[in-house]
Amino acid sequence: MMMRKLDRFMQVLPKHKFNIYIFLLGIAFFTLFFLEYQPITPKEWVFIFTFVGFSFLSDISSIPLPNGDYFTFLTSFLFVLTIMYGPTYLFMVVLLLVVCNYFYSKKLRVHLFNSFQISISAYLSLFVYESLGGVVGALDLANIKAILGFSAAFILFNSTFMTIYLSIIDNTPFLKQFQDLLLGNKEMVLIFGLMFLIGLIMAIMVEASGLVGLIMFSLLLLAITIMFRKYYEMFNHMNELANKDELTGLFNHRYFQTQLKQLINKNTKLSLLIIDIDYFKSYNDFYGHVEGDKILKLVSKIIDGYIGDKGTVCRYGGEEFSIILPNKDEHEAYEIAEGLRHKISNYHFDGQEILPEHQLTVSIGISSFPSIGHNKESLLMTADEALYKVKHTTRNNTFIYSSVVDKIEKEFNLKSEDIGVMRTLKVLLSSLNFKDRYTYGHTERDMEYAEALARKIGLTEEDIKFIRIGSLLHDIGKVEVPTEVLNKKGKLTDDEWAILKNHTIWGEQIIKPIEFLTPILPMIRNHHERYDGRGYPDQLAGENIHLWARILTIVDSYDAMTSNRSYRKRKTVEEAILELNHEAGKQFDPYLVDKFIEVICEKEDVHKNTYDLLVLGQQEVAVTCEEINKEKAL
Amino acid sequence: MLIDGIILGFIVGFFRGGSFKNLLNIRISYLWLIIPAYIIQRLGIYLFPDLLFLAVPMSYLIIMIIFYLNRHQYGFIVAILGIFANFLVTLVNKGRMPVEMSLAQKLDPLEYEYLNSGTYFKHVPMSENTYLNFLGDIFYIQPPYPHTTLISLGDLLFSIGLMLFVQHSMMVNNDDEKVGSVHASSTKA
Repeated sequence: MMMRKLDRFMQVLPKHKFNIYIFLLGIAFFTLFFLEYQPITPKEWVFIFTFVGFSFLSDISSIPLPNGDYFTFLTSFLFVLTIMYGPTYLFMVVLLLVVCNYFYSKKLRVHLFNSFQISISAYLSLFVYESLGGVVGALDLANIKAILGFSAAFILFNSTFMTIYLSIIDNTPFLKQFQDLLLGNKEMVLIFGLMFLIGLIMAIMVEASGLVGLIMFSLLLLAITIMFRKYYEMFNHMNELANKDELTGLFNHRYFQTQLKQLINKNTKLSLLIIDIDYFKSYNDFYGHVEGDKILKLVSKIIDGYIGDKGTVCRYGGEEFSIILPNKDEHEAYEIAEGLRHKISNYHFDGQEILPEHQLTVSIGISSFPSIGHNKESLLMTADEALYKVKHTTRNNTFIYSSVVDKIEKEFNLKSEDIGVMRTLKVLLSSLNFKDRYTYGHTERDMEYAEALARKIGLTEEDIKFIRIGSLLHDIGKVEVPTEVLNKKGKLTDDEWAILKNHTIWGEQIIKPIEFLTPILPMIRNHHERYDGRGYPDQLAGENIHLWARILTIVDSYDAMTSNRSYRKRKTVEEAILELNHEAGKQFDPYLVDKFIEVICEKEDVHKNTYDLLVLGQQEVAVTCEEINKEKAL
Repeated sequence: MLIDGIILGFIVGFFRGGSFKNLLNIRISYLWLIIPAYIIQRLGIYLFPDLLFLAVPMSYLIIMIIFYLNRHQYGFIVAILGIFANFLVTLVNKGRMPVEMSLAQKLDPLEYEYLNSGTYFKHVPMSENTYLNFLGDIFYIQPPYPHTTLISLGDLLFSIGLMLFVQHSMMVNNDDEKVGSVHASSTKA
């Protein structure tokens, strides 16, 4: 209880301190006003009112600077008032200024504080002016000493009052604030200097032609202010054009890159989400780009509204968005991403019925700096890989990037030179990933299935270790296959087939020099052999094919059937089981097929009954065996 | 000064790219109250000088109420402040507006003669016996401004408020402004 009370007391304290500060300044102000008061004639009132009007106008129309600061010509007006007319005018004008400001924007305390401190500063500076030989009301340009003295004193007093205010608000030591304000901000001194110069010219005008001079010059200042503000608006507009995406109003790719670079250079912990709209191309093809653009806008709005000030939302390109979440680790980012994903999938978009899932969904990949990606490139690459992992499996999901290679390194307890080798393999794997987008998540799932099957048939932990790494690396030979062949949509020519088939041999050659990986060589070489001896490259049959290779053949085919490919939709688990069963004894080892179906039934929660029914019922299967084989070969 | 404010509003609005057509959309509620306000003031000045101390502040008060009821209109707050200043100064000076004599002499020697010998309609010479003199007629508007006149701070603020209102009305299409009064409406052009 005691502590809580104390806490609350501490919270209120700065506000109270500020009130006390204003109160003290107010007492000083009114005391000085009372002591200095001279009766004001009606004609002098005209001057005062004019001053109030114009200084109020200049006070509310501040001139913004590109660095976020702004300045007003108020100081110039106060300079003229003090030098030419003395304290009574000064105090009266400042008091009326509070009234005007109050009617304009209610913040009374701030206006009171500003008016009090600025008039007391000017009043104190007047002593410096007079002690240096200046005379109120008689401007003597020859006495530059007095004018400079007044200006310097004004800056000093003004900064002091402001520093007290800042140290009360922020609860920081006075001296540090003072240094920051006065020394760390040389521009401010320059601007003040400019204000006094303008004030001096105004004083000359006033001395030469009185009220008319004052009005003319004030109008000129106002015109300059308006012009400056227009220019600033233009500047802002250009700035926005350069950094914002025209269609969605989000930040653009360029801004995203610079922002990310800045944050990483500052070593800020951050997470990166890359979001992709699922089946957006189908939507565009069906309704046309105009409707597609509407969806893009809508999705941007939802994303922007959901993220708010938690991060920076950018349009990465096409239907991809990227979000920088500063000071969030990958798990916090995952929570946010999942919330966003649900929000979008629950939203009703016009025309979403034509999409394969009858709703518009997004896939999200997550990476973090510095825990996953160590620099900008690897951060982007890992988030991208995570996204493609989602794209090639379920879609409408969120994945955090995870590297299997890192896990394997731990399992094998590698020597330092082998760690170097693994790193190289990792690079090879990710370059393969860029050649053939499908491989990434694929090899990882192969690993899981192969491991499960190996456990089912009772292999040792040592074997399982090798089966895992073998599954991961089995397609490594594909790095040698040209990208055109790997990603060819149509039928392959005989020559191209020959090249593609060679990936098993090339893979073996790549791994051969690595001593600790010798046991997995048959797995890589022979994972395209068939149980009936019609496979490649060695046309081995039955038990002649290494057991590990037979395992890999089954899981690899199963995963190929159940993943999304660009040219067809994935099969259901049941359809895949049927297919495996059909090929038992032809392509696959029948014993292993049986065991693997058990594994799947446990894993995917399919009842054995369903499976039996399917097999017994001899249901028609959409994809024939030949197609699967082609698939497999690819 | 009423006319001055409106004309200045036209000029500013025109140069800011406003349209005179937009002025047709102006809606001011309770504008008819201006008629009793005018009658009360005239009656006080011409027929019942004894009640002048009541009539002039009263007419200002009514105008202030009209503006207050329409205070959401752009610039009306400034106009209200102006009328309030006039209301205040006539109230404490028994319904009369103090005039700075040296300026009155410059403006109109004939009127000055009348004033010097007492009061002139609702005006009274400024002296130690008048109050709140700084709110009296002290602004001598002179060439280059085309309309030479002597006005008070209240008149000035009132004109500025009107000017702001007129130029703003020319800029904005008032259709979407929520005025919605059925009691009285008037169009000004």
